[in-house]
Amino acid sequence: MNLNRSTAMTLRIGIAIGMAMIAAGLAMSVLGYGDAVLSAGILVLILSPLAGAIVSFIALASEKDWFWTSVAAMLLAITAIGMVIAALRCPK
Amino acid sequence: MEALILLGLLTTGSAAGVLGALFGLGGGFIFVPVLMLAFGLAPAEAISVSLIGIIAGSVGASTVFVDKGTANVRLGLLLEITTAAGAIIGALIAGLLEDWILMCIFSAVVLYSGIRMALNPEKVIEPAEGSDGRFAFGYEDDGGKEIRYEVQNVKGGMAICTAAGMVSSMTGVGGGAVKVPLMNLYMHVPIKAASPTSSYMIGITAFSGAITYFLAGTVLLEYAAGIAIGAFAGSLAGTALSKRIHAKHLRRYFSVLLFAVALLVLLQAGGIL
Repeated sequence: MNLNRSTAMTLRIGIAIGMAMIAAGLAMSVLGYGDAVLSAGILVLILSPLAGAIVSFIALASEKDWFWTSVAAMLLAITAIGMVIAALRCPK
Repeated sequence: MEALILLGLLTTGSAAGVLGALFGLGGGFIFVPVLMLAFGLAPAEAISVSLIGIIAGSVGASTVFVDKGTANVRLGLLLEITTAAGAIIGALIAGLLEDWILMCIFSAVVLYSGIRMALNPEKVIEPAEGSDGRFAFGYEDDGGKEIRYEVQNVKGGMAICTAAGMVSSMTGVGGGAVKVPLMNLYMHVPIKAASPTSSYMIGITAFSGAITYFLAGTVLLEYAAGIAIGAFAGSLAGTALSKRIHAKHLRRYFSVLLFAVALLVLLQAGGIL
């Protein structure tokens, strides 16, 4: 599994789905059909960089590149910690 | 939403997207003041919309730069660890230091980087022949030539990223404006790799903030959509444009841009913007 190719592919899929949903959702929202699709599209877009980092982690692990695998794992861990702290500090 | 507002959002997004892809800046320094002054958004609304625009531009540019290998994913992940840690520390101690003091410090650092960028030529350390060091990387330039570089001062660079992460989470400005000069001047990463690497990192940095705002429900969805579509289109244009700009010129433009960022942030610190 090639690191660059698999990471780029993940980002490409994320942004393609996200952008399609955002464009369709924006049209629906403006025309008064509610904003469920738009909201879901924005969520897909927001999650794309995280999905890219997760796939990078998997690609590095599959290459048995342990130093860089642990770097990716540490980043994912600290991102998770950051989200927990943010969730605790922001009670809605 | 009115057509004119949508057009304005698309234009703002594209402009920031082009700059983001060319220079590795997120564009928060454009988004936030424009969304507040021209579109009348409250600060929290402007920041949340800005974060989503930053992600769209970063992911859009990265689909090209990561594939080509100019964005250094390994280095990006490494520097992102301390950036994220700094952002968490910054969020926890926010309020202890006045924002304007931080912004002035930030402004001074950016100004200094701009001057160094303008005066000092790029210095890239080639890995020793046959060296397969952990921090030796390479990419193919637009002419198809293999460029090799060995990243220097890795520990110091990580430490500075902690400070950069702290400041940006406390003030909402500046990931890229610190990270690109840091990589280029201090860690000796060629500018043609440093900017794309920063473009890639910025999306991950913005993710944490964006998801928090999204879950809290403070994101103005239609505004975010307009900005995101613009930023995505702009980032693709920026990646195409970056092929035509020589590294030497890119650094010169970058230094000018840094002066502009320093000035903008200084104006914000003074409460004028």
